[in-house]
Amino acid sequence: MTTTGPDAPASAPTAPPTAPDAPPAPRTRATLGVAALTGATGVLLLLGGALIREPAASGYLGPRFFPLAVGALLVATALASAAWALRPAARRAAAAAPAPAPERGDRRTLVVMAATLAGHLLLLQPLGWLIAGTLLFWGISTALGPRRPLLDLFVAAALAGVVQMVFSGLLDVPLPAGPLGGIG
Amino acid sequence: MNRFALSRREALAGVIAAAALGGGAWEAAGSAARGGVGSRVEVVVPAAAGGGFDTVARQAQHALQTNGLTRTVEVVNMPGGGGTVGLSHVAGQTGRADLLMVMGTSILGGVRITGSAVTLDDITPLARLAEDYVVVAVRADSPLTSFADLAERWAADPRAVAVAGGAVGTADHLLAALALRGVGADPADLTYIVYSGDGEVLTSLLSHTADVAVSSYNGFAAQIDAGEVRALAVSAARPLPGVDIPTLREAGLDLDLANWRGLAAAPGLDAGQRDRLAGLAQDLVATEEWRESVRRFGWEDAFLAGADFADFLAEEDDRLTGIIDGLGLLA
Amino acid sequence: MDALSLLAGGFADALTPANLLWCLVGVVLGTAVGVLPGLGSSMAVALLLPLTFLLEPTAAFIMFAGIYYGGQFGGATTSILLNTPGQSSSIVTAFEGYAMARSGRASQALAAAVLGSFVGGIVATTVVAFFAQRMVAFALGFGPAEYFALAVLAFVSTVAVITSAPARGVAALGVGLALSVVGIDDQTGAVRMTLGVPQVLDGIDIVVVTVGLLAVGEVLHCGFRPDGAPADRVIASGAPWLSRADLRRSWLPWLRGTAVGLPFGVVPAGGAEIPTFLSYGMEKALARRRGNSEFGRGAIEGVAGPEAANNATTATAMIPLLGLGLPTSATAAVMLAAFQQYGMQPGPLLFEGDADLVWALLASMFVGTVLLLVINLPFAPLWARLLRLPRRHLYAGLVVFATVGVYAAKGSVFEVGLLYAVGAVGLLMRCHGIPVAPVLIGVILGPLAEGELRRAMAAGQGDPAVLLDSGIALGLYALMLAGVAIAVAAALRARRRTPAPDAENPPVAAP
Repeated sequence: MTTTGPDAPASAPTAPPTAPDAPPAPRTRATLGVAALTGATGVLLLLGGALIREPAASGYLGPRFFPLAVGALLVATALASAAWALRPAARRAAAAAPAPAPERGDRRTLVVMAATLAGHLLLLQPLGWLIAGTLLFWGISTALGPRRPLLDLFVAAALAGVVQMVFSGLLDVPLPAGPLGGIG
Repeated sequence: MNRFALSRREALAGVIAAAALGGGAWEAAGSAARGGVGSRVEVVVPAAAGGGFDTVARQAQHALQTNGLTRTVEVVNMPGGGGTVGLSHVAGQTGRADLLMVMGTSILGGVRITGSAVTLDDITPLARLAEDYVVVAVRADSPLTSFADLAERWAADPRAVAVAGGAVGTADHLLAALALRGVGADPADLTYIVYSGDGEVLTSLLSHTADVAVSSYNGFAAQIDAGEVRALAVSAARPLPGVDIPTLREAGLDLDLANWRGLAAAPGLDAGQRDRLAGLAQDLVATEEWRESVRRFGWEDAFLAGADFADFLAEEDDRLTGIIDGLGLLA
Repeated sequence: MDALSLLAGGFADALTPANLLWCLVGVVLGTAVGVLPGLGSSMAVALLLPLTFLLEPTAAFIMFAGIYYGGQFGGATTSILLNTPGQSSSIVTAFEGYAMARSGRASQALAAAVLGSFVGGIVATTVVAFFAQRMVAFALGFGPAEYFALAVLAFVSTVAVITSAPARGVAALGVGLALSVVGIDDQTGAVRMTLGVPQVLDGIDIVVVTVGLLAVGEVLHCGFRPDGAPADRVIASGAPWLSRADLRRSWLPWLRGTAVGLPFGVVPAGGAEIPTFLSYGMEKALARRRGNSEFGRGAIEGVAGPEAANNATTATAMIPLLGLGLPTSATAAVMLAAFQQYGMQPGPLLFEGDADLVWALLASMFVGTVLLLVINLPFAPLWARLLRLPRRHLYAGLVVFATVGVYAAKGSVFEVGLLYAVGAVGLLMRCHGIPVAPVLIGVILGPLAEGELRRAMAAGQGDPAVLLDSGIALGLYALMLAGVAIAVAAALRARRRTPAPDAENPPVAAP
């Protein structure tokens, strides 16, 4: 991945990474996917907006107006962009273009990372920051490069310790103490 | 190479890690032993920066830190929803003994008028600190020169007067609605522009967005002194010492409204933690700095804690609920 | 000139060795706290508040000024190096700054940011010193209709200029607006879109969304698509200083950014986000017109302009504080409280009543800006060396800081979970080519747009015409239409020139 500009969500499968300014290739499926997401968000807003209970003191535009307006805008955008992608000229262009490479990511790394994050959420309170934070750093760094786990573990523990000292000692912000909480 | 032998880099990292872990453990245990109280306190202000609640929090911050009652006090503004945004946040921080929230008339009103599911039962009210009053003000160039002028305009066409004030259910909002009813109009016809802080209310008045502003006296004090804003009436029962503004009673309305300010804590505290925080409130009002703030901002000392405060709170809730119901605004 | 001699008096008060030391301490500590995500300058000020009460007023305000600027710069540093903005005003800096860092130009990005901050800060402080009273009148021209127009301008320019595919831009903006609606409604207290989760009653925090989408999303994406991993170890190449070419490209964006930022600090509800986004959009549109846009791959203009705009806004935010007694940020609220502590009431009479202190404060803002430059410019190459850490350590550290920052700011594991969930959404968006900038602008400005729209309608008693009943609002809408017209024309021209869309913008050899 090489680009991180706001409109270059790094290495989108449909565009070479060096052309962030290029409009997305008119591949029908990708466009329809985005349109579906837009429409779903819009429908969610319309439903959620309709379910809001308006208090008596609501003024001229109550709490419902904005969610409903944004929802309607999104649904309209979704329909328009779907219609645009499905018009004959666009479909011909899409058919002529080479099929997009399927999204092939490194699932193993992602699974290790996700497990690390989930584990951290579960362990932060019971084990305290020192242990949970060490595991967090160690899990992510091992997922990205598993060659020197012992060094990584030491770095992880050092960082977790320093963070604990800075936050509890200097900034006075409490981090979960875990079993250490019982000592004092 | 023996795979169990450490390289020099790893050994060094290990030593550093051990030292950092030791230091961290010491800090963690120490911070846990302090029980989260005494060293740092976070004060949640359920309104924007620069308003009445905000002033209370920041004056308390100054008094607490100067006298070493706590080491650090951090003020966090959480405006919105008639104070229920900040209230919901505090209600979710069960057991946090280092958390305070500024509360008062406006929170009680905000809870009732919005029909909030989170109420004062979901936090730990601690004490009442002081009373403040609401002022009805206009720009200096306004044709309204007295409350009688406003009453006349209101009686003729209530919707045509744009009134800016704090969130729904605040003392500002209730006073505006009560005053409108007092001049014989339907409170449902009040054109009320909602802001989340006194500073925004003042800007709204000065930028000609609103014709009338309703907010605490201190929000307007500098502009009143500079002759840019004219105060028409104040909601106190008796004239305030040293403040040349007629009361609503003097203006012919049977109406007064105190806007008290107090402190609350997170839910789920044990008796010891609650007493410690209530003691902190007691120590606060005894400081020279706090007394100076009360004098400077024209508040009235109204400290009340313990069972008396609980009784007061229940009464006040009934009274405000009655007022809101009478205005037809009960959720 | 009277104001000049008063300012000279202020410098005489401010420039004592002890005060300079306090300013230095403020800048260093402000920067140190500013680099932690979620802990911006207001946290730094709160931490140092007890210390400032021990100082005499001049020294205290000088230290405040130092902390304020230091915190701003700390946020920019992490934006550039780690794609993690310390505060919302440095979000835009992350877009091009991080791209520059990845291509080995981190120290140039940092230097462009420091110098941009310096230019913006000095010009804006001069404006504050000499035109504060007149600027107050300008600020009071802004009512709800004008604020709403401002927010719409920001939305439209984000979708039309910053992003290249409008449909995706609108989708992302909509997601941001949807997130901004979650929680208790500001004005009526109605509960909206919480799906029954009590923890989101107080809304979804901007810090969580920003750090989640940019930092956590980036780490996940990097693990998911490890293409080019060996080459990915970025080493600051070439000279650590700005080259002549860099300076030539930066000085106009600095000035343009400053000009964009100046008015926004004065407008009480503006904040520094709108001007940074507008400056970014402007630089990008200009680069596209010139035809050699590096935007998306690390354009120095995209760092220089927004940082200048950010600091210009920060400095002019002193105008509503001093002239009206209105704090427009948490840091300004702390300063307001400090003023009151020393027995002063900021407002129309402050310049007459407490002139000495006001001029010392203004002088100290100049001193703080200069110190920021002197301290941080030499540090830029040092900061950039952070990127020489092994990639896995850098990213793991990033997750650790994001986690601990959000936990410290919000005090709950739920928010950390939300952070990771937003990070997963960020990964999905990256994989499907949906831009993240509009999400952020939607979350940040959604409440402003909605709140002011409703206030305008309330003030106009339900008549929509009130939205157009203002010269400023009409001017903003005209600006918006002109921007859209230019963007559409450019897109059409590009399409005619190059039949194959992917051939547009051939890669420019990196310098």
